[in-house]
Amino acid sequence: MMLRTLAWRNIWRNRRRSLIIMISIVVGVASAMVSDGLSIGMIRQMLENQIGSHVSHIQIHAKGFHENPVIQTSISDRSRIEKALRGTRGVRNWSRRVNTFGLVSSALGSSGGLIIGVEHEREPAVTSIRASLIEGRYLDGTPHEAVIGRRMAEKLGVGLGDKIVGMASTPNGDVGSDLFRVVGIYQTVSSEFDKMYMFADLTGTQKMLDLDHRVLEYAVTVENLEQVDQVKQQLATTLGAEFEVLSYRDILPMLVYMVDSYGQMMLVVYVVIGLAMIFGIINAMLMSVFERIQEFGVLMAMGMKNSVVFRMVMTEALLLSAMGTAAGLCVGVLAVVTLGAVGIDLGMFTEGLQSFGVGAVIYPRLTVSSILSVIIVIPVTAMLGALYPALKATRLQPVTAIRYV
Amino acid sequence: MRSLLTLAWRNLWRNTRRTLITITAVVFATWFVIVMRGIQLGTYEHNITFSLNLFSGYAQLQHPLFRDNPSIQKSVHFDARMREMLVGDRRVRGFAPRVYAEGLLSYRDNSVGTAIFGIDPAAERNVTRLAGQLRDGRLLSSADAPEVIVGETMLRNLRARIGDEVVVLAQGYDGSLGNAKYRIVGSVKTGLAEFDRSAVFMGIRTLQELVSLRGRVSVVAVALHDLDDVGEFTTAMNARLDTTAVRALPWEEVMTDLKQGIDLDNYSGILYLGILLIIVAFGILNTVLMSVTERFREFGILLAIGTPQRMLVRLVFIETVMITLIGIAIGNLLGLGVNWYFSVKPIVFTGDFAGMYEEYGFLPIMRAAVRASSFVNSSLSVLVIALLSVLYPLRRVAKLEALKGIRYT
Repeated sequence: MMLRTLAWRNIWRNRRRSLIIMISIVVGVASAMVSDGLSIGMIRQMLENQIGSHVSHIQIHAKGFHENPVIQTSISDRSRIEKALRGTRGVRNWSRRVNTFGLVSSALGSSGGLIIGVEHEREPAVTSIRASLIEGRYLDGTPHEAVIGRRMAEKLGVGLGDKIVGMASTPNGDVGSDLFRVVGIYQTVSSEFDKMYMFADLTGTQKMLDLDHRVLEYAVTVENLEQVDQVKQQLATTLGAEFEVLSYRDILPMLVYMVDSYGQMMLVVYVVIGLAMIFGIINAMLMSVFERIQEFGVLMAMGMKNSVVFRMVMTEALLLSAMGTAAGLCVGVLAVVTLGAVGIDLGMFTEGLQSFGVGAVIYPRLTVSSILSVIIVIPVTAMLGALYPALKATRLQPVTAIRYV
Repeated sequence: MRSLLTLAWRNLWRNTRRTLITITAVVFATWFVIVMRGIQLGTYEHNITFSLNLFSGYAQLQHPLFRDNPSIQKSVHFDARMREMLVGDRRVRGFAPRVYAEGLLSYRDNSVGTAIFGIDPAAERNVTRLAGQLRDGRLLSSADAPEVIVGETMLRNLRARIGDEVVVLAQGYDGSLGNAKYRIVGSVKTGLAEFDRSAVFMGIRTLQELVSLRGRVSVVAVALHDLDDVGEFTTAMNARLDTTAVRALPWEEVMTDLKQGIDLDNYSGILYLGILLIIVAFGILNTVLMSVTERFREFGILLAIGTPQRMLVRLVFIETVMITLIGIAIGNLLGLGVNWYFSVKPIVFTGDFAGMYEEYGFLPIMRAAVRASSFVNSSLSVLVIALLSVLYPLRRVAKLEALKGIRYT
């Protein structure tokens, strides 16, 4: 206890030096937290945007569709899936889809794309395309209507009310085609998505593709994202081997891996920042030890053990870095939370960010791993930095130390 | 001045330990900045030349509206004059006219939307590495053979084989739909997922026929000998071209996604290094401040015996510059070593980590560049930050009064 008081007072004997060290820790911690929050915010936004605009939380297909999405791999036993979906706890909404690669063309041009047949009542509860409309309206069940992305509209040179032709192969190998009128144009944060996805009414699409009442995909959202694996497992058990039940983790493995492994990558960043700090800490502690050589000599002559001298210096370093880290955390948390609410507009990179599906405004996020990294890495590096000065202090000979000038 | 330098140098070694630690901090900062910049720039360069040589070329001639609306209508007439301009330009390594179209490719029961590229196999050889990406089968035999090469993933998804016949359906220049049968003679694997899933290559004349685009082309891809010449080349071309009909675009404007992805990564890297330098600056500030306050008595006496204040300020300044320069020099040497090593032996990632890079459209490879500019810039930024951090200690020296200094404890 006395040791702590002593260490505390020692820190404030040279206020300026201690404050400069603390400021350097505060700046380091706070700026590391902001850049950490920014990066994780970007990756999470990529994932959430993909989930929200199309992928949803869980997808159910006939076995093999994910690996090789051909129209022959369709689901005919709809009632079985729908019964399972109704009977599974944690399922919030679901929607039936027909999705196939095809060609969309207008009088002016054509574009390869995904033709997606959806139910206008169910789909908006699962994905956000209706909310992303920038012109016109969403599908309302009228046949031969389509909603397309802004980039596709530009590429095809069409606007609201114009006609486009969708073409894709049917299960027996013919090419099915149909005429659609563009009733809505959407824009998501991903330019790639906006170029590729065309939405039309489910029934019409089924007719065009000779699918009768078969569908290709069920998109499911869950009540609580944490339980997505449980819900997936339960659905898979109920449905058996005829179907494949995939969570967004299976469909977007790379993005999920990025989010998961991000904490470890950031740890490296914090360690490098800690290393940059360590030199300042070594130097400051060393100097504070050398300034007090006489004092140490007296203490030792009075019988203070080497181990206590060592502990005292270490305690000083710990207190100093702990205060710096705490203040840095406060500033960092405040900055991340504020920026997270306001968002950082990276308009100058919009195109690059859009091709990654991030969006122009990034909302930095505060994560537990970021706070933990700071709390662990910074004080530990500070202690490592203090090790040498503290050892130096214990090596002193009381007699020579007292006479040291 | 001579004596001031000697004095500064001796002062440095009065506290050898502190000086060495401060130098180490500067070495670390310089080294880290140089290595990180080297790896960033090297990786970008590698990615850029890789993607440009893969398909896009270093620059392209295209219709002014083609980039925003890449439709078959926005085509250019590649005439003899343009051809001569390219042949006569010493910077040009090769050029290849191409037609881009979109269509539907069907094989038996399956069809997929595709991006169709009409190429001249002979001309492509000097421009792109496409031939090297051939995975199976052979290359197109001529610009007008009824043959196609498809992406490897597409071939697998269609469950087709080399030698099978496919039907390609595409919308023509006049809006009508054309379709014809072609034989698959080969498959390519580029590593770019979308390309491998949707690309189809055929002879340029074969495709011109299919989309009734007689004699016109979508783009002319141009490869240069040196990446640094791109700006010069496009400016020179545009000065001589009728830019309402055709324009030369540098790769930055053709591959905007690549360019901006790199910019984004580049700026976030610089931001991170900035944070690091600020931390190091505080370390330098602290040591210099301490070495100055320790000597206040000494400085007081010097002032009392008539040393001009300016000289003391200069002394401290020279000491810091010495420390910084020594640190920067060592940091440069170490940085050179590391960068050189990673430029010769790049790190190639595998597994999930590699997939993460590919998700961003980058190659899973880390390679360093040894460029004089990155050494100079890194050294300068460390020097600037060190000089900034010494301002406060200098101010304290400049304001020191002789008597207060002598009595300072």
